[in-house]
Amino acid sequence: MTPKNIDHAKIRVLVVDDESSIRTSLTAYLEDYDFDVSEASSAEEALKLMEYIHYHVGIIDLRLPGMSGDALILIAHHRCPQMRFILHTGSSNYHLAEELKQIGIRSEHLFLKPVADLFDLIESVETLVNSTEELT
Amino acid sequence: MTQKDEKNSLTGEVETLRLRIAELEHSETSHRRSGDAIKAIVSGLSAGFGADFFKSLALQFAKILNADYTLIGQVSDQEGKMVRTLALTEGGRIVENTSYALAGTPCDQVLGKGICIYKSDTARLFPQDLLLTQMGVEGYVGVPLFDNQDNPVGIMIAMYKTKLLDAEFAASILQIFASRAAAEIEREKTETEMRKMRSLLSNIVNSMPSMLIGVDPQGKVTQWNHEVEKKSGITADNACGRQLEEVFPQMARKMKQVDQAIRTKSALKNEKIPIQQNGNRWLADITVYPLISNGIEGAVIRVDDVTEQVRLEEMMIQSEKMMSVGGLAAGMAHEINNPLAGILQNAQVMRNRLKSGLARNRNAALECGTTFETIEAYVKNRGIMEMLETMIDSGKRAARIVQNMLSFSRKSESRFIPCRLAELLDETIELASNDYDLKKKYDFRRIQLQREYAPDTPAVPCDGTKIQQVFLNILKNGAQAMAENDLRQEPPRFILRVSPEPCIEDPEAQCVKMQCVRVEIEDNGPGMDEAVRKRIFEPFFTTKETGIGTGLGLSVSYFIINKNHKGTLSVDSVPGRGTRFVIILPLHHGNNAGERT
Repeated sequence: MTPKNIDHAKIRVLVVDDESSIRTSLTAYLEDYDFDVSEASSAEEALKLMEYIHYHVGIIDLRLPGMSGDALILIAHHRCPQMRFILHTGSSNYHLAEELKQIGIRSEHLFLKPVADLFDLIESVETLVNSTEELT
Repeated sequence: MTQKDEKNSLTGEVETLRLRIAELEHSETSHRRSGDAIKAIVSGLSAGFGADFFKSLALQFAKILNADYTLIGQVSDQEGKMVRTLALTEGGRIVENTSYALAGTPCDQVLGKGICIYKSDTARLFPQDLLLTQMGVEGYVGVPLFDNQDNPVGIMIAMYKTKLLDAEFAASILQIFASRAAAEIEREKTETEMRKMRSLLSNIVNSMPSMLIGVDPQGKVTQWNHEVEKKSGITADNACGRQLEEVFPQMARKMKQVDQAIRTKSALKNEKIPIQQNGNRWLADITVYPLISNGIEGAVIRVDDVTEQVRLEEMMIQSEKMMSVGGLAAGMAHEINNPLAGILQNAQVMRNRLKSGLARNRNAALECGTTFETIEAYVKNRGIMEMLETMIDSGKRAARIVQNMLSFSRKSESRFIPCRLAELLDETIELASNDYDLKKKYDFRRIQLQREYAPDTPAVPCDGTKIQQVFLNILKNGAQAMAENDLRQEPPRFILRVSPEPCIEDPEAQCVKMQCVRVEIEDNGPGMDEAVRKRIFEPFFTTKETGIGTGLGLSVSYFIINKNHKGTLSVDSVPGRGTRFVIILPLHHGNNAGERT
């Protein structure tokens, strides 16, 4: 199945970032491409949302107030192993933590801010969803 | 008085008178004899000093005193128990000097004591002195020699194989010359001492690692040590006595200071003075010390070649500066990334929302009572799309700069693979020749390449792509510099050198010697002056017009070499002749060198 054939409206994406200009613009961008998008400004808020909604993909900032993005991903994965993640960080010297590698996150899922072309993110979301569909 | 009586008394008086006259005559004769003898000795004495003087004195004694042996000796040990002859004659001829112990010899009674006379049987009187017997000495006259502090310094002896008839005469003649001989012994001692001191001094002066030049108040050279000989190629013999500015023209400007130092009796120091000499340029610390001991006027000029020291110092300062700037830049870059993402993302969303193709855009337009076509026409009419594109491009450029700045603080990664730097350099040149952006500005293939690759250069563990980035930065920089230099006759050319470097001193590891490889990239462009050279690696320092370069290429290179690879990147330049970048990369990083920081 090529990514273009996926119905974006059926894909639920959770954007977690404490910087509102980044969070809202990313949400707007994804919505313009018809994704079903929720946003959270902290890991704690994200976990609350996840109690009610099952998300396919999370786009997670790593430096968050309170719980870190790394920790959030580990908990989310524990609760919902089908969920996939994209890491979105401003720290260019970030090295993928070993625990994250173990749950299948690889360097191609790491996006450094600023992302010059947001369409790359959409492609990445599509690829991730594809892979889950193949798995399930 | 009867005649007889008179005659008797006369006879008696005559006799007395005769005796008296005889006595007088004898005395007069002996006086005359002494006088003649002294005259003879003095006229026969050599005008020389030291050994010459003693030899001629001993010979004159032998001749005038008719002695079979004469000897002038000097105390040769601390305790005064040994004598070394200064001159020795036998049968009126000089024989080889010797040393002997005083104990058991008649000389023992002379040294430090007084005149000794043995008219006969000397050898028999001193049975321990076998030499006396061997020589068949009968008569002996000895006088002691004292210095002007009355310390015994030696003896003078005349010896005879026959009985001594006129011992007093011999003794008095010896005595007359005793003070002269003692003075000569003293003078010789002083001279030896002086010679020793002088040789010690010149030894010290010559073993100094500094160049030392002594001058008199008129600026004539009085001292010229080995270091100066080495550096100037002029020997001390040639330099001494000539004017300083004549033998060391670079010092001409320093003569005022020499005068001043002598006048004010205080040292004057000049640091890092550039000196041009035989086509070489070096840096000197010059100190002028006035000579302040009484009686001697002049100054000593000390010149130290501090070129290497200054270079190392500069590198240390450079490195410290760069590291702090790097840390600052990286910290800042971090904080800039987030707002930059805000700008770029929002701009991208806006661009998307003003572009046709998205159903949501059409719906929103209709909801607002217009068509998307109208909005699109408006956007086109007002040039909004171009503005958004410009915004996004500017944002991307800022992001690239930040990305470069972040590399300043990036830790070295242990993905080092042994690479042949010569091959890497050739690949980079290939890359540069085909680079479209580069070709637009300057045709890389017009540049001559002169390769000087040492065949035995080992491979260096490094991050090949990073090192290529450095090469490319330097080559681009050079190509650009040479393109600006179109007026010159010489065609543009790079000299590329790769060779093993025996070692560098690692400032961090405190003089641990390491094997290294050295890469040089030399252009014949316009070069640069000191001020530019010192700042060339600083981030955002650029001599290019704004917009051409970000001013980060060489700083990024600096961090790649100095921080990531623990090597050194440095630059030499002569304005008008060209610029040479030198990269030194270590072959070994130690077990933990990469992990540190």
